[in-house]
Amino acid sequence: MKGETYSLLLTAVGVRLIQLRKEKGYTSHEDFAYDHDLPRYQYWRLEKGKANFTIKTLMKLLSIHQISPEEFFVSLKEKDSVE
Amino acid sequence: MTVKTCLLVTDDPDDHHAFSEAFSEISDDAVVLIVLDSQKALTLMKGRRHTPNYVFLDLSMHGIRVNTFLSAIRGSAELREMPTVVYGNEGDLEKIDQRDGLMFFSKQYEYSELREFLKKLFQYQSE
Repeated sequence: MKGETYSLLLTAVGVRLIQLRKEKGYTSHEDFAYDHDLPRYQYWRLEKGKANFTIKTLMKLLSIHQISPEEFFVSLKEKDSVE
Repeated sequence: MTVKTCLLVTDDPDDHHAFSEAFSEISDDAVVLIVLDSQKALTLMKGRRHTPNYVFLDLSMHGIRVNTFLSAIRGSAELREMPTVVYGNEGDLEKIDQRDGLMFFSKQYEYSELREFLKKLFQYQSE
């Protein structure tokens, strides 16, 4: 995967995580991280698309949002199609 | 300000992030050194270039020779007094021949549990 494509994927994941966070009623990434026992700085980096997250980390977040990996990645694709 | 150095021996990137962040939250003067395998960690410590204040060893690392590592630490006058924390899954403890003097922490930690454990460790060592 080329560097630029990889970077775009991380950004798209981050944007989707922000959407999911807001859908849960959180305006602040800090409050979200604190309430769900996540390292705040690491979570911030995920939302900013700056972190090469592990599958374990992603699964923990998807578990919080009660969304499967399939649904999550399909939603990225759908968003990409719309744009 | 006396810098406290914590040597984190693990190849797990989630632990790298969690430990680094937890240490920085509980102590302004803690530095985390990350080494990806136990052999390199031993080389670092035995070279006497640096003796850390604490060592954290991930028992679930691929290819880890935990008994070799612990024997080397115990065999060194400089290193044997260093607080050593092993962490992993419950069954990983079975790998260790001699567990005396070791602290154990579960790898299935929540972030707040890690932070609390490290806070208590620092407080205990400061007393």
